[in-house]
Amino acid sequence: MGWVGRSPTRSEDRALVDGLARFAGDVEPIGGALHAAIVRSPVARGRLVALHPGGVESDTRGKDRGAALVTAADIDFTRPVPNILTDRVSMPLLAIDRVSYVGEPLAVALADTRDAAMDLACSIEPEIETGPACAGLDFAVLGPPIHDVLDSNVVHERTFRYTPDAAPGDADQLSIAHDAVMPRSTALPLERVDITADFDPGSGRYTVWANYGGPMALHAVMASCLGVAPADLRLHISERIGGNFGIKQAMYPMIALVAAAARVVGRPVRWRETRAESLTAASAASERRTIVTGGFGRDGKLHSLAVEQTENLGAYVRTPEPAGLYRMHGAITGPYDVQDLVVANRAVLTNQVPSGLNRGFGAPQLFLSLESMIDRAARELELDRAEIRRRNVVGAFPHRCPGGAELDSGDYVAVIDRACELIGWSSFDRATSGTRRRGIGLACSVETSGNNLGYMNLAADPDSPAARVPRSGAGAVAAIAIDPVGSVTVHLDAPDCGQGYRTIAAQVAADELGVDPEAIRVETALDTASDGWLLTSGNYANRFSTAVASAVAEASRKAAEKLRHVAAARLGTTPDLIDLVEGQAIDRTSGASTPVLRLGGQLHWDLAQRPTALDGPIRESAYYAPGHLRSPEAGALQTSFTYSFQCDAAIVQVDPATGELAIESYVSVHDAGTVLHPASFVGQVHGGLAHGLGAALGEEIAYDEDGRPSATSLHSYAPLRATRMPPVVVDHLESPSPHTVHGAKGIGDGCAVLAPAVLASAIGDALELARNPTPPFTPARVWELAVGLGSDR
Amino acid sequence: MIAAPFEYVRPDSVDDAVALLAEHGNRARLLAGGQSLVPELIARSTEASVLVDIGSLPWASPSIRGATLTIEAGTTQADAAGQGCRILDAALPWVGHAQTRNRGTVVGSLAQRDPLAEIPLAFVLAGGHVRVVGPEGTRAIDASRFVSGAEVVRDDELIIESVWNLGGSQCGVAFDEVAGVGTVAAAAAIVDWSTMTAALAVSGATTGPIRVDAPDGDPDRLITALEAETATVEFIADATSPSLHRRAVALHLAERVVALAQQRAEEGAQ
Amino acid sequence: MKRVGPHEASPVHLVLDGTPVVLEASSRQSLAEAIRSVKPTAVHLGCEEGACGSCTVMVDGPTVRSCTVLAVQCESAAVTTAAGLGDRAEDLRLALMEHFAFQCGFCASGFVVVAAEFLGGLEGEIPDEAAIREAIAGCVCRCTGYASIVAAIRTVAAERAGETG
Repeated sequence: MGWVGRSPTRSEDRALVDGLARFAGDVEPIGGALHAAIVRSPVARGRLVALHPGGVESDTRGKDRGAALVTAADIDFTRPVPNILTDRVSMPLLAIDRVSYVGEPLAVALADTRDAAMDLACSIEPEIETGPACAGLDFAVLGPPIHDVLDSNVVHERTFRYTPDAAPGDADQLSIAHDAVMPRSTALPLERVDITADFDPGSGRYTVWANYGGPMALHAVMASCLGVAPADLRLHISERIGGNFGIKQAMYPMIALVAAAARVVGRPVRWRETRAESLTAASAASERRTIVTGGFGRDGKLHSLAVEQTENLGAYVRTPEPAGLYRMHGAITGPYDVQDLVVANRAVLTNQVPSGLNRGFGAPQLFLSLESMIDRAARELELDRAEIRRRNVVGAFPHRCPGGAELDSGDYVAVIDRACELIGWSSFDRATSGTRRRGIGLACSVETSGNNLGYMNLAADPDSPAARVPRSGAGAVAAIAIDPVGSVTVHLDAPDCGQGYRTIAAQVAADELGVDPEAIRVETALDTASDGWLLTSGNYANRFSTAVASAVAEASRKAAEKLRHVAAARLGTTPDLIDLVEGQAIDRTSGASTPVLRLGGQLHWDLAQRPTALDGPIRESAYYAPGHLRSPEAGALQTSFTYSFQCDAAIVQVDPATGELAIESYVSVHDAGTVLHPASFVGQVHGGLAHGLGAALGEEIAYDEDGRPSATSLHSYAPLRATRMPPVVVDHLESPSPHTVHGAKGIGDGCAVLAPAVLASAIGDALELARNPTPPFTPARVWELAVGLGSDR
Repeated sequence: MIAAPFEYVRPDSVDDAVALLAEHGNRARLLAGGQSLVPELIARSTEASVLVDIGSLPWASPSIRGATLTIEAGTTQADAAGQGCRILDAALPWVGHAQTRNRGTVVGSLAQRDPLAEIPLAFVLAGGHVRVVGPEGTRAIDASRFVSGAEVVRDDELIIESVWNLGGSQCGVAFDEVAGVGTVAAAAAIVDWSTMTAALAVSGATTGPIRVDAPDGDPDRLITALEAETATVEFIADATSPSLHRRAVALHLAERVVALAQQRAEEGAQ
Repeated sequence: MKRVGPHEASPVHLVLDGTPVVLEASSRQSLAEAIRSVKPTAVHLGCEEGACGSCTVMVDGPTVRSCTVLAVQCESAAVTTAAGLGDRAEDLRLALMEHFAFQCGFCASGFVVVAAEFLGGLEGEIPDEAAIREAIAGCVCRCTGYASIVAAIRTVAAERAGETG
């Protein structure tokens, strides 16, 4: 039995439990750095008149020689962040003349210490002629534009129609619509952004150290903001990143800003984000209205689907947005077998922080509405909610979805059945001893893994040049080397943000080389100047278990092939007769053996052993980019490498008198193909669930009518704690994907995506509502639902 | 964020502390555990140019004197637990987390007078007083007058102790709370068969905790009394809850705690 | 009477993880920053505002959040971090690893200290799951959903109870 599929202890963990784990903030990458604090807009919209210096008490020791304020005028060599939707409004690194959201950077305050930089930043008094803010999605569509140069806040509008050749007769159809607005929430990794930048005037080159997790496509965007070639922006990504969940993507304009500040002052600059900044000024999952309309036959069969989405992008289109609208595009029909599809997408600007990646990016919004619509259809048709799903999920694979996804493998009905069995669906009894109301709910989804950059072609104006460049990027690259003493190092193009990449990549390589994983060192730190990486590299979109693990296997196979050749020469046989097992290269015929890694080391010392004259010691790299991803054609996009399937179910109790919500039990059943490291798989499910439940239960980034965010600290944005997690049962089935080396698919997003829909289903059932409610399910909100107060937004 | 600069002073005695308050007036803030004050300073939502640290003065441990428990200003919430005041014990698990209770003080929480905080709610229900020291010497402020704000601690005074009534031997207590992002409302009740008294208090009102006593000591009449008392009172509306919800929760929790306190009193009497 | 001016630094004597140290702390410097100036990995700062618990340490015994304690308040204190628990916590560390308790582990320094305190106070009893969850509620983890951390603590409690009982 190989190492893949087992759960060895993680090599990441010893330093963690010993209090010795180094994160970006624990090291000083370059000496002599000034500390930065960002002066930010206190209002959501207005004309920036001036920045007035206030009185700041100087350090009595007179040490603060570095105090400086870098303003927009000082960084006029930078360019705003380009985006694919409009060139009329772009996000500047520092606000110029106008402010458009609370927290927008106005200037960079610099000083010798972080304390002094903060004092300086806090002493600056921005003079802003405040204007009316647009802080809501609905108002954005109809109201006046937030940027004067625009005619409308609607910056994107596209409709896609996919109609099958023979549409079913519609005489017997029942049309069911569900309209829901998913509120904003945020990822909240515990480690905050930490950026150090240096500029070398001699070479014109920037060097940056940051806990940036990708996507690396944005490296070129940062370079473009700084007006240099990508090769002149050397980025060092830290070995450990303290959580990401997507939001660390949003630091890239700040990387450019800190780098620009370093150039202005002629010294390295370090910026550490505050928690208030991470909550208000970094990014958030988009607010989205999704209206899903299904056409059903009386038998409960779904014949047509229409999805109308309006995305609140915040004050600017910050690339890669509007990716959130398109991440699921090819698979927007979810797990359901329906060919008649219309998708109408719209993106609007509001006076809120620009939206961006958040665990499950773009999918929670879709499945909340899609699954609520299915529940409603079941009620109208008097069908069991599990049964209507069984009747409509895809049954034969591969299955071509109208949006372009090819669902690769699975047994969806078996997963639904298993979830129902574990939660006790058919024996559920709503009776309680007191006045509490009990309900049960479920929801299903498909989970993508590894994005196809071709989404950009769908988002771009069809007449624009951007739409005509073919795009299908999605792969990974990995490298493996054996050094002169026989030590193995694997390089990943994915920074580790906690998922255990070092451990799992070592298992993958160990299987190919026939050695113990402990013999393999895995590097997750990335230096853009010396390591291999791709546009699609990074820690995002579930790409590890599919693309990255496959690339590691392919690179390791190249190394193994070379080792077999050298071993064959040593043992006097042919490479095809060599097995690599338990650290030995063994001649299958004679049984003679030699330690495999020593062979790799010896290649450095004696090149005569190399397989061909063109070869050298073992330093192999491999790409993994399966051919089934193509640039979109006729609006159809193969969105992702693979598609996992999931069915979650929950039982809840609601106290109608107070709105208290207790989750009695939660079941999550997945089919994510082959499982690489079962313990990490379960950890991803639990962790994703904590995110999904957090967003469902009240982790909301809300804004008042003046565009002021309500959550400014962890005292006003309450992250889910251990006492709030329900008992969870996790199970999985394995339908290997044909598109990855191991048959693995993605798992990291599933519960973060589905939990809000599951709770909506269960609460709707408990309170016997006609339609599933919309999160956040705070006590106040649940009470309003229970007593029939308030509108269901 | 990082706190704005301030001067830190650690006096050697209560008298020194009083003198410092007299010297600096409202620019000074008292620091004991700092679990409310320090986060506010870090967020720069509170300003202070002088912090007077009274945390390491030689405070006495909690002590029972007759039918009361005395908790001095240096006693942490963790150290106040299990000292004999049952309603305080019932409230403490709802206060912050273990780490803030290990550092935050009972008196410090009282001094904050947060209308949604648990310790003032328990205090108004238990009854007792705080003792304050100022330039003119010491004085006592009754628990209900202190918590309601009818009688305030001045900028040049500090609370040196809180004295909590313990209740009788056949006393049942209960505390319950509903929280979202912040506290929605809490309720606490005491039913005391030994003195034939019963009282109930709820938080959530803009005016702070509201206490009612059972007419004729009949716990079954507490809810009606509370309804009458709160009929014209406004409840807090904030990002956690609208006013209507807070009122509903407070009144419902009141029913829960009265029932539970009665049950516990009966169990205690058996 | 001790006074530290708004822009002054003052020596603070600590016994940090068993080693006497003298730190120069400004009046507003947190204990967390003071610790990090000599042992940067021993505590991590997730919020710097007294909410996430990643910076939890023991000060003269009980656990506190070191970001909301001023360094100058800790004169002569014994401060213990996750890096200073020594051999007595090795069973806890191994259990945390065996249960895959952490993912990114930025929070680990806080959880290890809180779990050590909780387990140390059990006196041979095996806590139920609710008690464990309550004990760790002061620390936020964004990766794991807490189940793995709870399982590890329960395992250590059971093992220790078995040994003592």
